[in-house]
This record gives sequence, C-alpha cells and structure tokens, in this order.
Amino acid sequence: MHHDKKVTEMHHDKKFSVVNPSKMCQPMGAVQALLGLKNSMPLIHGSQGCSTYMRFQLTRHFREPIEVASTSMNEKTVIYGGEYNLMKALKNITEKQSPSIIAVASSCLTETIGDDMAGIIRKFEDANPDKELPVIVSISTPSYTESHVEGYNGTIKALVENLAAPTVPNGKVNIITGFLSPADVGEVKEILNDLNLEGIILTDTSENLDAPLSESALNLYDGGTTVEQLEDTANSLGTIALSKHVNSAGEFLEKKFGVKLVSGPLPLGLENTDSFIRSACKLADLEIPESMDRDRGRLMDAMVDAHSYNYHRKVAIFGDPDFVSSMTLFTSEMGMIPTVVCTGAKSKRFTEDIETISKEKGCSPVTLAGGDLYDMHKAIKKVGTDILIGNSYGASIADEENIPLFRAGFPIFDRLGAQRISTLGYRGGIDFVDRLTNTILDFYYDEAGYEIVEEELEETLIDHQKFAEEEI
Amino acid sequence: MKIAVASTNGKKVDLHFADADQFLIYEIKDKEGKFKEIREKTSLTLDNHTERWIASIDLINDCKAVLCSKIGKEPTIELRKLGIKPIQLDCAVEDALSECSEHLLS
Amino acid sequence: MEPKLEPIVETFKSREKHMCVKGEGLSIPVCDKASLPGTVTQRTCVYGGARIVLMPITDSIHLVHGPIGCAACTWDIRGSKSSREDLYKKGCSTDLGEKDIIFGGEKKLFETVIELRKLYNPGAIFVYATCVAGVIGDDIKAVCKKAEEVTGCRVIPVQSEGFQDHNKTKGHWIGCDALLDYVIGTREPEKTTPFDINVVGEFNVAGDFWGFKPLLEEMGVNIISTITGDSHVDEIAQAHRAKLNIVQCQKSSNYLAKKMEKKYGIPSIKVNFFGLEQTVNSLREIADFFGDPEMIERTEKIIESGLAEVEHKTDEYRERLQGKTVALYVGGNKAWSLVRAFEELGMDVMMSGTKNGIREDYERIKEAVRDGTIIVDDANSTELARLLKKYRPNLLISGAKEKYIALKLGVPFCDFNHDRISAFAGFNGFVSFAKEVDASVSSPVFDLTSTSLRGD
Repeated sequence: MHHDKKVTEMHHDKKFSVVNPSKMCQPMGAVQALLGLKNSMPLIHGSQGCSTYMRFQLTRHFREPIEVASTSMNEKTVIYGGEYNLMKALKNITEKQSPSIIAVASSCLTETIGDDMAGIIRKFEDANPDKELPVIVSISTPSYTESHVEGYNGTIKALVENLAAPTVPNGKVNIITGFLSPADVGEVKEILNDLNLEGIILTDTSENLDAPLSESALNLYDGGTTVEQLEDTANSLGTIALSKHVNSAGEFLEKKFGVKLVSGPLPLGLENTDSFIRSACKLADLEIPESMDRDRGRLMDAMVDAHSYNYHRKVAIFGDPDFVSSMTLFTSEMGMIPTVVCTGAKSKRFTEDIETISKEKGCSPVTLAGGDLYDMHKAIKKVGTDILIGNSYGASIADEENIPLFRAGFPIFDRLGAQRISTLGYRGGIDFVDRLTNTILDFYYDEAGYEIVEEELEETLIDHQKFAEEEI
Repeated sequence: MKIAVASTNGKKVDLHFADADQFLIYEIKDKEGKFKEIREKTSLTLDNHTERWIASIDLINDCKAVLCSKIGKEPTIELRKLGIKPIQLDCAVEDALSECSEHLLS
Repeated sequence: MEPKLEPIVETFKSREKHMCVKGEGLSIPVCDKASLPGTVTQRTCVYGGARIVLMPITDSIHLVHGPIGCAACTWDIRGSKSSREDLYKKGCSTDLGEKDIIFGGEKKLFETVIELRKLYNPGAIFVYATCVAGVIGDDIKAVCKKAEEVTGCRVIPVQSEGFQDHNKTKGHWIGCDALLDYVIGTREPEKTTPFDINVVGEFNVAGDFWGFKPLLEEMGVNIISTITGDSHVDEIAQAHRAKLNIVQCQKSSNYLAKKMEKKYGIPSIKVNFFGLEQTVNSLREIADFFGDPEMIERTEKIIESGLAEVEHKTDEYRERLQGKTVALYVGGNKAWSLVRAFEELGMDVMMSGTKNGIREDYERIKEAVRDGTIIVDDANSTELARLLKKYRPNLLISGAKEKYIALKLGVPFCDFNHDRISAFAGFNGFVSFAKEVDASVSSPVFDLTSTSLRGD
C-alpha cells in the first residue's frame, strides 16, 4: 500500500526500555507447551489478566478456542498467600472438567509472594485421599526471568521429571518440539512415520490446535500427548530436542535413565532436515528409506526452480531463537543474504549458532540476541533488506520500509491459516520455498513477469519524452 | 545514599531483620559501597518480636534501603511507609551493595 | 411450595444466581463477585481496565512497569484509530528482571522514562503499575514526579496493579483518576466558546468517533477534547473549560463525568450513537441542552439529511435479518446500548450479559431488554458454550476469546470489541453495522454445518 509514509526517526541508541517486544513471558511458553496434552487443563496461578491475555493472543493466532484456567488472585490473596485460591481451583477443575492432568504454572505474582505450589498441591492431594484425582504437576515459570522459550522448556522438563517412569524399553524416540505450528508438528510425525519409527511427541499440538468445525472442539483436548506417553519417555531409545533451547527434559532423561539426547538443529531447510533424519535413524539404528531421497530431491528441485528470483535477496528474520538461526541457514542455502537476525531471548547459544552459520555461508548479519523490534528496525534502516520474515508485528516495519512481510512464527493475527504454516522437513521446506518466492514475485515483479526496477522505469520515461520533444 | 546491612561480619548478609543486634551502614558512592559505621542495638533484651523490629527500624531510619536475610510482612509495610526499601536476600555484602547502586534511585 | 426453577444452564451451584430471566423475579443477576478460581474466566485485570481508558491517547507513550508479559500481550490491541500520531501503538515495557524484583525497579523505571522521552518526545508518558511492581513496593508516583522534573515532560503514574480487584471496572476508574489528578485542568484553551464540549468515554475503536464527530461539528458544538479517542494530552488538559460533557461509554467514564461535575461544575448528559433512533435522540439532547434556536434548527436538518442518506441502504440487510435472534456478551455498556440498534434491524435480543457488570449496569440492561431475555453475569467458557447450545441464537456478539466458541458450535459471530473492522457509530456507521451483522448471520457457510458426508 503506497501513501505518504511516516518515516520513523531512529537516531538514538536504546539501553533501558523495551519498545515493541519480540518475546513473551515464561507462563506463555508453559501454556504453549500444555496445549499439546490430551484431556488436560492448564492452570495459571496468578491474577486473571495473565491467563486471559495469553488466551487472547493464542486465540487470535490459532483461530481456535483456547482454554486456560486461572486461580484469580486478588489483593487479599496477595497478602495472605494464594493457597486458598489454588486449592479451590484444583477442586473446581477436578469436579467440573475431570481432566487426566492439571498442570499448574506460576506467574510473576505468585513467584514474588513465594507461594509453595508443590506444597499446596501435596496438601490438596492429602486432603482428598479417597477421590480419584487427576495427575497434578506444578511448573515454576517466573515471568521476570528469561522468556516464553524458557517457559516452554521448563514445562516439558517438569512434566517429564514428575511422570517419567522406567519400565520396559519401547523402541520409540522422544521428540521435544518447541513451539511449532500444528502443521509442522504434523510434518515431524509424518517423517517419523516414513522412517517407520514411533515417536512420543512432547507435546503434540497437531490435532488440538487445528480442530474441525465441531462442537467436540470445545471439550478438553481429545488429541495430544497422554499421561501414559509422558510416563513412557523414560523407556525410549533417545530424545531429539528439535530446538536447542528446549532440551532440558532430554538432559534429565539422559542423566537419570540413560536416554540419549540429541539437541537440535531444528529441521528447517535442507542441511538441517538431513541432520534430523540422520539423528533419528542413528538413534533407532534404522536405514534411511528411499522415500526420503525422493522428498529431498523435490526440495532441491524447488530451490533450483526458485533460485533466480531469490539470488542475493536480502532477508531480515525475527522470532524464536532456533527458528531464526535455522531460517538464517535455509535462506542462505536458497541463495539469499541474511542481513538482520533478531530474537527476543538473550541467548549465547543463538549468537554462537549464527556465528557458525555466518562463517559457513559467508554472510554477516547484524545479530540481535535479546533485541526488540525497535532495535531490529534500526538495524534494517542501516543495512537494508528486501524481505522480512517474522510475526504480524513486523507489518508496520515492512510497510514503512516498503518491503513484503512473510509471516511465520507467533503471533500471526492479520492473516488466516497460521496453524497451517508449514516450514519443517523436506515437504514443509518445499511449501516454504514456493510461498516465499511467490511473495518476492508478487512484490518485485510485474504482471508480465519482469522485475520492477524503479530507476530504470523513470529513465525510460524521460528518454521517451526527450525523443518526443526532439521529433517535434 | 545510605544502605543498612544486617550482617555479623560484613562479608555475608546473614541476619534476620528483627533479630539483628547490629546493622553495618554503608554509603553508596561511585557504584561502590563505602563502609561508614556499625550501629548496635542497646543491650536491653527485648522479648517481644514487635519491639525487636521496631528497634531495628529506629536504628536505620535514615537509610534508603536495608539488606537482610529475612524480614516479616509487618516491618516491610512500616519500612515502605518511611520510604525505606527492605531487600531480602542471601549473598555477599559486596555484590549486594554493587547491585544496590545499580537499582536504587537516589 | 414453589417449584424449583430449572437453572438456565447447568453450572456450579454458586453460579446459578449469576443468571436470570427478565420478568421472573428481580431480573437482576448476582454480580460484581470474584470469579471462581479454576474457571476459564473471560475477565482481565485492573491493569486491563486502566489500559483501555488511557491507551487511545495518541501522542503519548504508554509504559508498562513490570516483567515483559503484561506489555507483550497487550501491545497495540485496543483497536483505537488515530488521525495523527501513532506513538500510542508502541509496546513499551521496563521488562523487569530478577534483580529488579529483588533490589527494586525504580531506578530502571526512571532511566527508561528518560530514554523514552529522548527517543520520542511524547505529549506524555503514562506509567502503568503491574502486579509485581505493586508487590515489590516500587513507588511509581515518586519516580514519575522526579522524571517529570528532570525532563519537563508530563510523566503520569497509573496505579493499576492487576490484582487490586476482581472487577476491572476499578481499572477504568484508576485510569480516569490519572487524568483527573494529572491532566485535566493543567492547561488553558486559547479561546472558549459557549458551545464547548468534551466527548467522554469514546475511544474511537475502528473509527467510531469519526462516525459522529462531523455531525457534532456541523451542529455547531466545539469539541475541546475527546476522552480519549484520537486525542492529544494537551487537549484533555483543557477539558475543564467545557460547558458540557457528553458521555458515550458510561460504564468506564460516567465516573469521570461525575467527578468533573463535582470539581468543575460541568454537567453531563448520557449519549449513545449506536443505532439510528439513539443517534437522533443524542443529537437532539445536545441541542436541547444548549437551547440555541439556530443550533436546534441545524440539528434537525442534520438529522433529516442523515436519515435520508441512509434510508433504504439497510433494506437489503433488514430483509434477511428480520426475526433473527441475537445474544450479547460484551462490556457493561454495550450490553444495553446495542439493544435498540438490533431492534432497528428487526432482530430480537434474547440474551444480554457482561463480564464485569456492576449493579447499575444490570439496571440499565433490565430496562433495555424485553421480558424473557436471559441476563448473564461473568459467564465462563463452559457456561457460554452451554447457553449457546441450549438457546441457539442466530448470532453472538462478543469479543475475540468468545469468537471460536460460537463458531465451533455453528453459531454465527460478530466481533463488537476491539477487533472490529468498521465503525458502527452514527448514521453511516449504522449501515456498516447492518452490513457486518448480515455478513455474519446470512453467510451460507453456516448452512453447511447441517450437511453430512454420509448423507443422513
């Protein structure tokens, strides 16, 4: 949309404030993880705003009803402690919803006042010895440290720590997904299927967050990871954490039960997907099936088909750390040049990953670990970019800089189909290459297929005018 | 900016606010804490817990903040009314003072 | 012995009294109570209440003092539009970390305010306290005062700790208080006219205010300030010089109008620009207040031409909407202010409920709805789903979180909250309103839900 554009003046350096955040808080990460559990109710121990605002963000992204309960802390409970509210909440949920599992995540409020959630839960369980209670797990997610990425990580770890119970080896592979779109979780499951490998997905949102138009979508989740599967994680051949930042549960399983851990990379792009498939097959001692070669070949085919439109296009990427680092690699594989990469988490691992990729691919993007969108916009103004990849909050930046925004990540609230965005694996990679390249074509090429070059067009007009004048 | 520290030896913050029989007073200058003086409670024994924390407050009421290993709800409320920030933590005095200079508004 | 009334829907015993039917008994549900712990409440917190009142102020920076979550989840979601600045859309936070929780966040807040002032030179910086800021005892007032002295820019504390009350109405009042205590009355207008007014409780969501602003201007009133849609802080600072306050959203802002009446002697009248009849009544009431015969005449002409312009434009929609039923589950003001507008479309309001209603809200609702209408307070997700299933309205009007509950049940939905896409106020607004309601109710996709693959 072209109109009189407001240009943001960005002369000053920013040290203290966060302007236009690119991260959310830990409890949000906890909820993202808990949405993949079957027959569960996530409960936030905190004030109503926490659960309601998180539900709002999740609802408008997935366009699905999102249920998160709250202990509704108020002024009295802040002074005297939240025990009464938490006990009441557990009672009400148990009686009315009868879930298989209740996961209780703390908030900054309850962490600051020092509520002992685990102790209160034990008290609740002791007070109801004759009732059939759901499994209740407490997760510490103080929102004043780290980000939603760590909240997700801590949640999977807490679930596994509380429930993993060794019995007999199961020949399966644990997969810690991190916060992915349901389509991507589905793709990972498909890959395992193709490998003839059974996985325990931590956690499986592929059904829950992309449900059909049906009343049953309003009940507790029918799909997703079960309590039994969480218990069974101790018996697996190994754990693959798709994102390096969510591997703590894997570390626990390795240390306590000898379940081998492979940490990343996110199977986004050719090299990373190869790596994932090799890791999975190595863990399970399987041959890589030929069907993989066909899919891989088709991805390469898509990348070659697209290469002339993508070559040396500058790209800026923001989002969760592993998504950004693997997208940096993938876009480089496609022939693009990452110029700015930004994540909200202050992660050393992220910075190191980008350094490694930069050396390997010969690029040198401005790297922002713990940066917000103001920082990213400032960097884009300095080094330039042709396309921005990230969530819907990038739209105003893209508009001002007159570049297209390719929407990926969370939240995406201004377009449909966020839950169906596919980027992982060979097949997701093909989808991504097609859609990204078409976005570039839509923006930079005219309806006849010619690249729009602004200066050339102007010069041509001037030449024609001169010619016309001379003729006369 | 004066900071009171409930410590037995000036190395660790290791005293409970009400039960502390002494407070070490530091002056924050140039991001560091300079030791100024020890203020001791009178030797009179105070049986009542409330009297003990009131005595603590009286001792440090010109300070901006007080560091201690533990402090109850009532003295916290009273200190805040006086504009004194109670900080409950368990760490080395030097580190704590450095953080104070970063976080406390003079 | 009186037979036990069948509960409106199955729910917790303590919740049953939060629902009632008009005409049966008192017709006012139990309300303004804390939500049951463990339910999926639709309510937000006190910070949420303050935020919606103040964040539309366009030339100001809204800084959330707390850990990142509060700001990150509420950044640019008000839906309020601006004809000038867009500073108000920025998501700013002090992003309190662990050390700030232990040692205090005051210095960080101070430095952040100084920095934001340098970056943006705003008309004001509003500082919102969050739960944690309250618990750790940060003295926001003192820091704001100091920062204002140092920068010369307005720095306004908003004591909006989320946990203060179960009802976010308290947050509305805290937001109003921030304006009363720090903004209104601090600036004198260059000139005054006998027809100066403030438009209070209008947040210009989706451009609503622009739907009736031209009507007011044509009438001949002079709008000194809008509190707070499409506004500048300096305009609100002059609000004490108005001769009249017109109050659109009474739930959030009647409090402000009453206080301004007490402090400055400014009378207020309640207005409602949703629906043709109510728009006409509101314009006439304003003209009658001033009693100026020329203005009264102009107003009648405006009404005449306004109605003529939209005449027949809604016929097509009305034809399809006639007799259809609608359920409202909205903020405390819209639960009654929309009823007439729907009736003008030929629709029947069979349920009206709010998340945060207090007694006076339910009194208004009771007056506005017909006998037999279900009145609901603080319904949680489960109850809402059960209500929709049992009573099957043709349309649910609510907000983003309730949208997919309705859609999954095959109940058409129209967003009347901050995710709205068109203005609904005024004459032309009524046409947009009709169009969107029709688009929701009459879409053929909802007929598909009764079809089946196996052809039953």
